[in-house]
Amino acid sequence: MSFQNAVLGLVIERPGYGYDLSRRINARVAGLDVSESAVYPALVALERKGWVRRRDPAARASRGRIWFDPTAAGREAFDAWMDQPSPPLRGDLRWKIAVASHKKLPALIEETREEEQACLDRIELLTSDAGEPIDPIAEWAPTGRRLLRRTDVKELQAKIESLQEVRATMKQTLRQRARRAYRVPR
Amino acid sequence: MTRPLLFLDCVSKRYWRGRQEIVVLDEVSFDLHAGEFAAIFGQRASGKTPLLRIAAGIEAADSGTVRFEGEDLTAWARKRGSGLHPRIGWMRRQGPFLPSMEMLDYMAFPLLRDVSHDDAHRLATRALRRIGASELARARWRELDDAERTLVMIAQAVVREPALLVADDPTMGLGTVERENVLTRLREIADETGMAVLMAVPDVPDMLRSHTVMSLSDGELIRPTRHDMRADVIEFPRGRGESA
Repeated sequence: MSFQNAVLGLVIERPGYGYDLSRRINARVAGLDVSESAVYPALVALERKGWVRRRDPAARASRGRIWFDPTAAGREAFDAWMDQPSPPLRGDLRWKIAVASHKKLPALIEETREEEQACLDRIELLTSDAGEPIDPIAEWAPTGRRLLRRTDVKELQAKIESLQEVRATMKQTLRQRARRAYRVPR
Repeated sequence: MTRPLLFLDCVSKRYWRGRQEIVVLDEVSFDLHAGEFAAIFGQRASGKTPLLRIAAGIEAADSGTVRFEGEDLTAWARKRGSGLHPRIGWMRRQGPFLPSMEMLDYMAFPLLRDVSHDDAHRLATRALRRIGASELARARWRELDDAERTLVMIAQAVVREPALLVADDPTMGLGTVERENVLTRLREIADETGMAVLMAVPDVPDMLRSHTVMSLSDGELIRPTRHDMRADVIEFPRGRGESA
């Protein structure tokens, strides 16, 4: 669902065809390697919902490719998705960050806070009593358990760090844009 | 309703680097209760150390309130001029100024201004026992490994039996097993004595022994959702001597 919305966001940004859209997604979200064949099912689903419309492939400007344009309903659906808070720890936010515009940054800053809060909730669930100090030379099992628990939260640490980085950059961007807007021309 | 031991309300701190304003803390608020072990995660230069220094009354905030046991800590520090509040323990990083000192003497020495020689030794012995490091009483600094030095520094911070222990990255430089054991000791201190522990760490796994976790970045403190919902207080284990 979030992938579909991200594809919709790219079509709204600029109409495109399968290969073009997969290239643009890969340029935005590193490490995913989205193929053309993954984009087409999303476009078909969006078309069924009436959120995108395909151009006539026989039209001269299409050069034999199937181009997709956004519809008014698609624009509305995209705005609604961007503005509604993402379910925590699901990955929606990742797509929103990829296809956001400047005006969506304040809402996304708030979402990164909520996402970080969800990570902290998870960490608090994993916290445990003091227990005994561990001695791996005498007995391995308690050490192994503690190591695994540490490994589990390392993943959350990476997530928190990237959320913090994204939020700091978005805040800085908004500050700098505000400063530029009020700069008196010489 | 239980009054928090430590209460920070809208604490801000900023400084200028050239023409650029750096927001170290931006209206940070949190509270800490007796017997609570709270950990703050932050990356490098996230403002952890200034936050802890302000919470311990070592440094003043630009704005906002810091209350410790109901008292305005900033006003207290201003009146006092320098030095720590006697009910707050700060984990230092330096060893003894005389390398030949035994750890018991090293810990007892600063107490001699206020208590007798015997009492100072008794308090130092108790602090070492509390941290599970009694066997280090007669050791010298150079004979200790990093984990043992960390335990001694924690013991030294709690030797006056403060109500609040503040530790900035207490597991710095330690291996995983040693980290786990130091954090286990800190949790024991909070659970068994009712002392509140506030620590900052650069690694999330080091928060797994805490009651409360928070994160700090870009001057902003984030807390789990239960803090949004909590009306006044969460009950934490109390020390033996504390009334319910």
